[in-house]
Amino acid sequence: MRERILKNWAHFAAAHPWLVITAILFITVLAAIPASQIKMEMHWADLLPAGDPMVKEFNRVLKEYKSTSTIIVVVQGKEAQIKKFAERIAPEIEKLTDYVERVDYKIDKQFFAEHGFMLSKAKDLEQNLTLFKDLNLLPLLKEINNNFEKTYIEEEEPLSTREKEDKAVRYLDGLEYLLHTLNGFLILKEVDSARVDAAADRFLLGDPYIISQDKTTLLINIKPTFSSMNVDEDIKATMAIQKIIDKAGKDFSDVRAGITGMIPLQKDEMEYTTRDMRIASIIALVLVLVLFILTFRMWSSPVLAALNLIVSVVIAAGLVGLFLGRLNLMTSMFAVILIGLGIDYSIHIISLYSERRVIDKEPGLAMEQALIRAGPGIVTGALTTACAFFALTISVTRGIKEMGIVLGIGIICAMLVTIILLPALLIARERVMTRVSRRPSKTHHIEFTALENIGRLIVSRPMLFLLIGCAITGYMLYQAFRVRFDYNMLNIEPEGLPTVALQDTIIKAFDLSPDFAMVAASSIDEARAVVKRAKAMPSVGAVNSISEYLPTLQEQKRRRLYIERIHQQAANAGYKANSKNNLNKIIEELERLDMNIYELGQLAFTGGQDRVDRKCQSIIGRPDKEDADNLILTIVEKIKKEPDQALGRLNVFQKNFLEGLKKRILKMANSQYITLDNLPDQIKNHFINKSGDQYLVIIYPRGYVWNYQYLTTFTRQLGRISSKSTGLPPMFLKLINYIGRDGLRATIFTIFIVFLLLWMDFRSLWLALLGIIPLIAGGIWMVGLLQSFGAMFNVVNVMGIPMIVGIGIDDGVHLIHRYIFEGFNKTPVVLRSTGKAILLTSLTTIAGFGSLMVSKYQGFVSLGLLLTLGVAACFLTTIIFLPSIISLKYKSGKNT
Amino acid sequence: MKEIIICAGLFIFSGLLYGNEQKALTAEEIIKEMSVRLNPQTSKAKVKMTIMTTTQKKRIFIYKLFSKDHGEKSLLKYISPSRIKGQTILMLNDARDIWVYFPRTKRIRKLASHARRQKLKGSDFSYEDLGASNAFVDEYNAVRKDDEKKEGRQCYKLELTRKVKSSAGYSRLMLWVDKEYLIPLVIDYYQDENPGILEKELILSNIKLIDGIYTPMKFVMYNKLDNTKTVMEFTEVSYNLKISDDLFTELGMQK
Repeated sequence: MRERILKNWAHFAAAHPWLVITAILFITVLAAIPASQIKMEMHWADLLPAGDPMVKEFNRVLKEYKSTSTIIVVVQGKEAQIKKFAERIAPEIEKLTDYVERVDYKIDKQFFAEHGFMLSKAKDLEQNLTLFKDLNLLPLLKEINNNFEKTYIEEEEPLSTREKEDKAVRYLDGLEYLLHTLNGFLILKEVDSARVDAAADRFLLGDPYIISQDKTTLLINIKPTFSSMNVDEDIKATMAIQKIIDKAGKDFSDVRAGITGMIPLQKDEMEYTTRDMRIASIIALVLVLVLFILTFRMWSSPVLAALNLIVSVVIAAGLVGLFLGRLNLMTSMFAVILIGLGIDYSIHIISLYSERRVIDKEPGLAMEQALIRAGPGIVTGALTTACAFFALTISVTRGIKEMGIVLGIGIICAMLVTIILLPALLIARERVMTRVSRRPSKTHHIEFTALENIGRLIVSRPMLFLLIGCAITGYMLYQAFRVRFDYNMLNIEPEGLPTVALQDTIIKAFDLSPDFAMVAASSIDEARAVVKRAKAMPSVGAVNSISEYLPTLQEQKRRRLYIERIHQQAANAGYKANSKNNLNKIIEELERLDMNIYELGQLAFTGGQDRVDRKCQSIIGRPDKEDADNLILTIVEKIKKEPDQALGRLNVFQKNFLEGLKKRILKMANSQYITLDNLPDQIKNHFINKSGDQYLVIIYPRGYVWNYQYLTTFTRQLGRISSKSTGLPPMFLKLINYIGRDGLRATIFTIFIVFLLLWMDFRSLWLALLGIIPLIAGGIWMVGLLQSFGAMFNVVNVMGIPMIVGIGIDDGVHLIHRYIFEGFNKTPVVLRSTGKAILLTSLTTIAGFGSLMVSKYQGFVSLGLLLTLGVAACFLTTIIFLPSIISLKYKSGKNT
Repeated sequence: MKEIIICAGLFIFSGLLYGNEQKALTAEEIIKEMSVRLNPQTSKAKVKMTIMTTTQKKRIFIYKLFSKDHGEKSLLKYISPSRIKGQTILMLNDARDIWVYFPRTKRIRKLASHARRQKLKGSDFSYEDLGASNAFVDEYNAVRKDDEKKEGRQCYKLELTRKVKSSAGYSRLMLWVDKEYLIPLVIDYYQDENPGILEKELILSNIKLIDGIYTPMKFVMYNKLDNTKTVMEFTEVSYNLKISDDLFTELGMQK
């Protein structure tokens, strides 16, 4: 029946080639319409099953809280320059109201200036009560020293957590600024009141900018008006912001600035993957054509094959557009895969047609013979491959499921288009050539005698070849067991992607990963409970929630008692000029401060708390360096050198600083309770959803979250914090788990389906088993070679395993079909003809997959490598195992 | 407790027990004997400790460690890196009292009593891990479980549960004690507030016979929550030396 259909079609195509070509081209034009509307979803998170509760929660939170869809401008350079740069670009970015809702690069000074004390813990307020007892320089320095010494001696908690480390760094930073200001006063003759005000601000509130501890990296957080799920807006917004940065950058030659965050990353991923696919497709097509031309020593047939291929890809894309409407990270490479696989069908037909044209005078007859010989193998091979791909739909992972559908559709399209269109194209070509040159078209046929010779060798020593094959397989199996899995998500991202590099910059500069987890709590109390649990988890670096700005009424009542006393104390604070007697005491306190900061630095050094140690060093210099720049001792020296002049200036400083500090303390010692109503909208919008019934808690990992060990711990601890926790880090771990499970299930299922199809096709259990042997051996070789090349599995290339089941089976299918046609004792003939075809198809498939290796996207590179190895391995195992087993079984020369 | 193991790790009199029918030992007997072996009367060691800092940098410390009265008193003096050379930590009363001496400022600072539970030197060891001598016996109730093979050696398996009034930093411990050496090879530490959560795991290895005492020369503490590890190696160890009580004083710290 199959033979009859193929025969009839050969005749029809030979009789009406132009009709067939016109009809197919018309369908192609129609298919181009839905193909052009395909949406690209290129983030790895799109590979996860949409029904997974964590994914659903993630998408819901992204939609409800635009603050989670981040755009971060990272500015690097000298402190003064980067702050100026931020001041310049922030208002301009704010003007992009279509995309930007708010820009944050400083703390909400107003809110903290009015409620800072109400947001401080009672224990800290108790300390402040003593600290601010007398705001004159000497008592203030004395209390600062007392506080330092208490930290380790009394029941104060030591610097054991990230939060406390931050607090210490912030405090030291304020102190450093105050000391710099004091130092400046000892030199300057004029009073810089703005600087004194800034010193008071920094002392009480810290640096208002979101700036790294070493003051070389500043962040500008941009809250978009849209969710990161809107890719078109992602692109437009990122480009508009980049334009502003580039423009401002011309005036700040020492400043480097770039954009990162979820939104720019989406844009970069899409641009890079689209470009990668375009380049890979062109390279694949060119390589395939070159191979074709070199092999068949003619140019027109390969061009027709390429045309046939383009038509297949367009029709397949049209169907994908109709049924799915989108491509993801996995399916985006379908065109490249189709070029590599789809050309195989053309090769089989052109190869046999060329062979037959030497024998048959009539093109129609030659095509009939070619289709009868190549057709069954093509149909079985394509159906097997397609079924293997469709088998992937048993996966729960969206990426794999859709890959199965897209590639399955693609293979069937390629097979059908090749059987329908290519014969018509070949016949039409011959007619045109004959008409043009007025003589019959010459058909080249190239023999592959090398393969025929290999066939003879195998037949003469089948056991030896079988043993060699088994030995290599054994070694590859050993290697396969040693292959490792790369769990680092950033290693599959495009190489040199600026957005990814900037994420690293943030991690290094701020010791905090910008990839956070989230919990949407149903009440403020629940948010508070989540925050408490999160802070107790060792893997958590920082927690952000509305509860940080809204203490409980009970807490506020307790704090209020201290705040009222601080207010009263500050109200009575008055300036007392320092006398000459005081000067020595001030020197003593400064020297004591130097010792305290030195000791703190030493404890931080032995405690591995680098940030505190670095901050201490920036005040008192390197402790192991005799002539280190010590800010405190510089002040002391200046005072000692010219005591009279220093006394006068210290008094001026003290008067100005006291006034500034008093004014601020009075404002901050505000006993009004903080409620949801008087909380600034900016804070409310950040943490509360539109309907006002959900409260977002943002949890930042303390370590490098893409380290698998750390990611596992962080995710496990997130589970303990809340069952509703979500975010990219835990979702990546889910993806790894899903893909691992799906990959295994899909591989087993695909092998089963392929085996079943072979059994049905060959109607022989023995032949079906024979077909599977080189496939399994090829799979083992593939993984073993991956290890030998020093590569690893990752979430993208691991899908190459079930894919190779569908792809690698083809070689065996074609060879067995040819054996059935020629006879099982005709190994040299089979290898000379079909062996040549499968060598070519393997080379073209390698060209297709190999072209993925030029990608910037590392996930594609790894998949390209794996599949290249897989295809090469399957070809080798097919020509080693099949002929040697067949020769052993049929060595009597008897045909079956 | 684990403390002992650690700093001291080293210690005590082997022998004695050896004629006994070890199978018949109760959990208490094993723990007591183990504590005796881990806490010799006096010990002196040179230790190399490798930690990871909060910015993920590797830092190596070398220090001398002296202990007396079966580990009840210990003193740790840094040798390198140079910036902390001479800095000294004194732990008395099983690390309930901790002082630090800074040679540059010539000042001694006392640490808060609860600091014994805090990490020492950024490592995965706490002061308590390093300084408390008899904690296994004093702070925990021991139950013997079925013997198991661990680290390739036949071991007694013991479960230690914190006593009601104890201030120990862990709710529960699991110990695998080598049957021949009566030295723990593995100790699992469970969280203070949640006995179900494994917080740290200590692996003791490279056991050598020094001055007649079986001494683990390498201690690796794995922090299961942070996924960090700290390696502590004893490069020189000696026992039963004459160490003056004066060393474990403020003056001794400054020598």
